[in-house]
Amino acid sequence: MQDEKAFIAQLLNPETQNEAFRKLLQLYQKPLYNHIRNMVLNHDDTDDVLQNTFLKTYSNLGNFKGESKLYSWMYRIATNEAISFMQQRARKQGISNEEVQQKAINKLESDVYFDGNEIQLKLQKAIAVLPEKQQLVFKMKYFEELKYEEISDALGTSVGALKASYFHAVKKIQDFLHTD
Amino acid sequence: MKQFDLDNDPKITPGFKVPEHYFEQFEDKMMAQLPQRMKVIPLWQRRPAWIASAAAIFIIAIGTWAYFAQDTAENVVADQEYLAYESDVTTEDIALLLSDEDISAVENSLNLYHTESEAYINEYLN
Repeated sequence: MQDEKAFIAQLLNPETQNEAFRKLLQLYQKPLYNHIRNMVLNHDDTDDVLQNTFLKTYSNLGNFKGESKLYSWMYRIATNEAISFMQQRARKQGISNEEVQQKAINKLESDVYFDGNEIQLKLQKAIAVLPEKQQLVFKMKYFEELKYEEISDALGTSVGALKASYFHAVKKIQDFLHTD
Repeated sequence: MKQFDLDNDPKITPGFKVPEHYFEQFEDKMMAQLPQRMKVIPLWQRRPAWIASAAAIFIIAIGTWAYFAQDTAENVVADQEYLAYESDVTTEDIALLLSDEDISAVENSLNLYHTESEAYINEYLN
């Protein structure tokens, strides 16, 4: 964005905030939706998390220090919101986070908003058996095509550790796809 | 069996679909939520954290003072009742612990040698 500081000022000003917030939605709702959907898999859940992400962004704009880009900050909020959403669901159902992922994967085949072919479904199943962090790194690198530096900024993990995670994830997924 | 090479094969997409017009509707839905969420709070209604903190400290201070004040009064009554009814401490034991000035002060406060009482007793005896 050309002048992010000025845009944030518009978001904080009661006179201009409505118009600025609409612009914020138009700019970032699609990439954030895709990121959240990759994590929680189901459309309705993604919708809930996306709403929380925008509301949290707005209510915390006054605390935004501008040390990173606005989108990077929102991306971190979206990631945290999606993780908390899955943790809450696991707690409510008395199961582990991995089991929540497995249940979501099992529902994919009958999901009207999933039109993946056999390979795509197999890939989703292969990802779901990875440890949580590897899942996240793989999805951000492979589906969203983020740079390691961007993933590092979002997850607070070193680039070296991310490269190792991605390498292990790819190896396990390929093994899964070959054997399954 | 096909060998997968994720980094070199054509990209496999996630396979998700989004409902038609979802993003337009999402935008409107979020905008409709804004008036309540973004309502500007008038200055006189804003309560900074330090006012709440000062109020809390004041209430705790008053409460603590009231508690100990009540406790002290109750203790004095309890001690007096204990000495009067429950203990083996005799009046002589207490007198031994008091100085002559203390005893005079107690006698004066109790008005033990009131002249009118003495006169009445003498009259009665005679």
